[in-house]
Amino acid sequence: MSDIVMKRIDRYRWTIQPHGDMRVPGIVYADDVLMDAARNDESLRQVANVAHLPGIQTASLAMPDIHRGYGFPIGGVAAFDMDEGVISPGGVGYDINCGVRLMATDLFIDDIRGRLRELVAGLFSAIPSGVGSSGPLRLTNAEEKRVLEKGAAWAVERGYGTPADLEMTERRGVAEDADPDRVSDRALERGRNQLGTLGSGNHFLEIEVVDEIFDDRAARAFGVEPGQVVVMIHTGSRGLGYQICDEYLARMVKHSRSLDFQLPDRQLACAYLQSREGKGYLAAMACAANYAWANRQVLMHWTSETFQRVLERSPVDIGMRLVYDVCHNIASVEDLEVDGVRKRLCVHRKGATRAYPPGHPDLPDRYREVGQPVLIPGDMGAGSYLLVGTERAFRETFGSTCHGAGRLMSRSRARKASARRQVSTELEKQGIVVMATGRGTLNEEIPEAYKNIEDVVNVVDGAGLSRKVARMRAIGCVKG
Amino acid sequence: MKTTAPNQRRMVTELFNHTADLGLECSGSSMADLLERAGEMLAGCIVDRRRIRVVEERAVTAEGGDPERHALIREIKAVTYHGVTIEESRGMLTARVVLDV
Repeated sequence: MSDIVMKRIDRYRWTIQPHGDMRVPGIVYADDVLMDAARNDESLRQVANVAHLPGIQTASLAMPDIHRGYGFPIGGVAAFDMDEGVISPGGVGYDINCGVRLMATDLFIDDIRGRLRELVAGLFSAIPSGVGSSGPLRLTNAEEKRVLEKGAAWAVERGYGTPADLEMTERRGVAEDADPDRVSDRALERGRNQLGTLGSGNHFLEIEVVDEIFDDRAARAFGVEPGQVVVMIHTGSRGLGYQICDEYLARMVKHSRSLDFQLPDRQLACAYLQSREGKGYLAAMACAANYAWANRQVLMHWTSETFQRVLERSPVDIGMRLVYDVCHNIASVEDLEVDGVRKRLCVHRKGATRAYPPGHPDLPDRYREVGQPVLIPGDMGAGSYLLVGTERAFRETFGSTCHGAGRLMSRSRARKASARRQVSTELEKQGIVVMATGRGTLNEEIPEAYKNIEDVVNVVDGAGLSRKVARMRAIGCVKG
Repeated sequence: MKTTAPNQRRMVTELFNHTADLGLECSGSSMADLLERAGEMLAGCIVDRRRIRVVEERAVTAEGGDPERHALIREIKAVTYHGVTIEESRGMLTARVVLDV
């Protein structure tokens, strides 16, 4: 149980008053149910811990899918002054640029109903998945470094997708501050054979059907309508991102001892943004972010090819196109608002998604009038949400919102709880065809292991951090 | 590195297993012993140790393994600093560490 005192501001907002060495308050977005869940782990303490870091602006924030992470809570958002602030690998997470990509098609449920099993099997064999999986791509050292520099554009140049896909990717699929010379040989080695792989755990590729539209205008802009078949991909930077996080964290733990402030948790190890260590991490993290964008771009291409092959239809008939690609584990330098004033900040979103408002210059023309698409994957079988960014999120949460359902149960508890169950059969009864590489993955990923996606989305919608546009339900799922 | 008798090898305790991680505790009589046990513990988290036996002892420097020969139990994504401690009590060193799995 948490010893942190939460003071309620309104139906969806709670605050932690600054105490001890906290430099700013904490603000947590949650309803009663989600706040009760948060009180059961150390995550509220972690919100308070983040508020100790130098240069933090306004408040240490947490989204309703908050749960305990390493250092920062998952669901944590914190923005730092470029001159006086810090950057922390614990504020990004191990899976750097873990993110979600949503593709729309011109297909409707009836077009694939009889072919669903074949489609899932096709995707399962075309998309390498599972623990430590490697793919058919073999990169040379030099080629891998080009991936780290160019991100999704590398994939497009190699024929995986089209330049239009880059328009529909957060930051056009490239973190400009990447410097491959900041990435170790070990990290490069781990990344070499994993580009174009899904990985394991909560990562997935899902065929979904648009179930309900909440906002006609935004849905039209995003090109989604009821009954339409869409595909969602959830994965990140694989072993490369983990290795980079691990190495820089160890370096920063040492470095932190020389700093002029005390850390409440070693996992919050950080460096001033203007220091050599801080710049080094930012440049290496950007490389992992680019790798992840290239990864999702390659996976999208293979998905499109599989649809063509299985359905024996042309790319034009299938019409697969990128709706948007968001990252939800990242630190990024952005022009944001602090008390109504624009300021360049380094925002950490760890299990949180950028949610830019209508009119933002970084949005593609097609979406500029409605705002940025925000993609929220639910647990296996629950479906997913498509939201849109708001002005209020820009003013209040450094343009950020939630990222998913958030775990409730440990992997081993979920395995035990579902030991005698045939999870794939249960899902089939709900009309979801699922294939997984790992023996235990489906049991670890049972829906009860997660918070209710509806609760999480209702909080960000109710608090005005983003608005519901559409809900999708899963019909086919490939897991690691 | 000093070898340990088989009956002393049972000092590995699984502490907790919470959301996405695994908390482990192990003890040793010296730092070298502690690290040896920690190494065994980590290997035991990744592969099924019942299928590992001592064939030959030699000093090696090695990385990686052959996944074809061993059933992988899980992937250790990272060894974290979350609540990491090494404590000394009655001549024994006890380490606690949380693995991200």
